[in-house]
Amino acid sequence: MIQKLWAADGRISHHYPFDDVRSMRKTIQNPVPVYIASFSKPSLEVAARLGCGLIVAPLAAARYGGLKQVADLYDETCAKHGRKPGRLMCSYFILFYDKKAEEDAARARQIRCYGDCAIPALPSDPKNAPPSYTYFVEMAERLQKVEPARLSENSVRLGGSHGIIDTLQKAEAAGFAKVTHSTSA
Amino acid sequence: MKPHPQVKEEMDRFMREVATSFDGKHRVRPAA
Repeated sequence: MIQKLWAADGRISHHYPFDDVRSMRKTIQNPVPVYIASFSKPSLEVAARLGCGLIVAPLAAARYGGLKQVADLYDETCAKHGRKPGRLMCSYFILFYDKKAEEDAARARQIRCYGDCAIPALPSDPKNAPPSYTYFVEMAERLQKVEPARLSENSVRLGGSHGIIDTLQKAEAAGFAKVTHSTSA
Repeated sequence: MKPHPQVKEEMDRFMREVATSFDGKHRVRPAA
């Protein structure tokens, strides 16, 4: 409905159980690119059905085999719904290091970040999480068990510039148009 | 948390050493 409001010149009301609904500020971009953040197949399905772009967490993409597999699944699902695939984006933590001591510190910091920030924010108790959030519970379990030496490019970009460029090129080859990064952890 | 000067240095390093290998708006809109 929001997309229809943005696209409409005037009000829309005859298709929805609302009276006299309109967007008071028209967007400069038309159509506005809309992205759906996806950690699971149902959200990927919604993005494909509505013709939205997709923002993928690489950690979640690992459940399907990686970014390429998610891109293929998104393309197939868009085709199933007769939609043209939108843009794909993903985000990563970047851990720069050139020396072993820097690597150890970076990996330890990342694990602390998971413990302090990520895990507490995830629904991790199966007794309280609805069935549709099972993947969150699994993700929290994986993050709780991950060891510094086992951090991989499924969740972080590691190493010197050349190593980071290599893994970014894999995302590009998989069809990802944009990758955002965080260096703050 | 990582010290702020280290974050700034790594952001700068990313733009100097990594971003230059890819196309994007950063090529026409250099950092101020």
